[in-house]
Amino acid sequence: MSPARAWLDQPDSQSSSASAENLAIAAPVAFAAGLLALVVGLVFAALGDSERSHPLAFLGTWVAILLSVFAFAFHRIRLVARRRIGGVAAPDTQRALTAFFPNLIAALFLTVALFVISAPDAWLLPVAPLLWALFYGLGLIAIGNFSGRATRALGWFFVAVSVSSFLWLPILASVLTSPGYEGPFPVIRLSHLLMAGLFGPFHLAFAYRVWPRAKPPEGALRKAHV
Amino acid sequence: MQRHEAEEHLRVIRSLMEKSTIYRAISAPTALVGGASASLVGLLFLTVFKAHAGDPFIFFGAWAAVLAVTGVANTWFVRQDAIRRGDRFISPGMKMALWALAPSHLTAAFATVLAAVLTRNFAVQNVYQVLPALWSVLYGLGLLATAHFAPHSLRKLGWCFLLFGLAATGWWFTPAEFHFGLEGGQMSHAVMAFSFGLFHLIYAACTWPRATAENGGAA
Repeated sequence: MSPARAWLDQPDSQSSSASAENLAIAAPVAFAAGLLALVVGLVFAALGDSERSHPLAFLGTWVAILLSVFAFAFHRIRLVARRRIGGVAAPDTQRALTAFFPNLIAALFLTVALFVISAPDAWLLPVAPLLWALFYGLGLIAIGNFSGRATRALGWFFVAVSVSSFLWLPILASVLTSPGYEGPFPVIRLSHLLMAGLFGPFHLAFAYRVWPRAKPPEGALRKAHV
Repeated sequence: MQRHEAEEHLRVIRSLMEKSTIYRAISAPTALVGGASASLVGLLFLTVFKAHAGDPFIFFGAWAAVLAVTGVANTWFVRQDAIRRGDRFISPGMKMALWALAPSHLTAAFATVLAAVLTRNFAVQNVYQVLPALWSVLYGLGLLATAHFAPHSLRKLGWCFLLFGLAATGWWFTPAEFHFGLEGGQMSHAVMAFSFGLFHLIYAACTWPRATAENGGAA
């Protein structure tokens, strides 16, 4: 095993059963989220047309996907919790949700602000995927203490990629908003492509990485609760 | 004793030790120094140096100076406390706290550099004025990332910074009649004075007695 893989496999400061339990929740959710982001993002980027699409349709699409992923995540939490005595989620799962929550609030508020600022033509729309990736990454790093280093590494990836994307985005935006521009990627198509590129491959890679050790041993869960 | 019980005891002990360390790392005296200097600088730009409030060079210089003063004071307080305890300057708990704070603080640093470059080289010269709101949001998220080992007071401070930062972002884009007669540059100094100044002063005032009781007067 390579040193990098060994480092990722370490459960960090928390007990290994809690980490395994949270990864059991995270792996299928990450797979579903990555697959949805990749397929929907690519399809909409290919079919999307700036004259027919609306910025609110973009927002609606991705909020619907986010809610679906949340619903799946809560379903997974309930499934794993049922295996525990008492049927409640592990304290570390609850702490992970609490740690993630502030980042969700920040992303939600700044998204609304972004849409208000850039109305009516939503010229700042491509910033939205970067903002979401940034706050999602910060949230993953915050919950990394409860679900192992792989989650934290994924969080750092999101933060690094979104932050570095802010470097080239102003240049791209100036091209896209110049009066004579009639290129192949209007703002909405570019935003869908960013969603596919940011949230697709990273989630799939994460799910692939943690899946083999995602299912916690039944005994470990009961022992951890007793 | 069962193995799990032993693990749980060790975890509790470790958690308590880490609480003590994070309390030292962001202590009441540091909050007092940071809060006082931020309030002073913010108020100076809202009164005496009102004419210079819109200068980006002065904005970055003044707040970098406040950060430097607070950073030096924090290092000194932590070092003094480590000497008093006979502990290492950078303890494992402090490393944990720094790792928790790092992502949001690095993001804030990057946003600052980006805003400085945009202000200097491109047409978006006022973009730096939104920075205080963003710093407040990211500082709040950083504090909240330490929530699993930080005391309640620090979590509350984190929420205050986060919510105020979001409100300040919204305030920035409201019509001029909601700006209380302040111009862009003055608004950014006002946000700094209110958040990094006032919040830290309130935090210092609220935690000082507890810090004295818990850490033997040197927290």
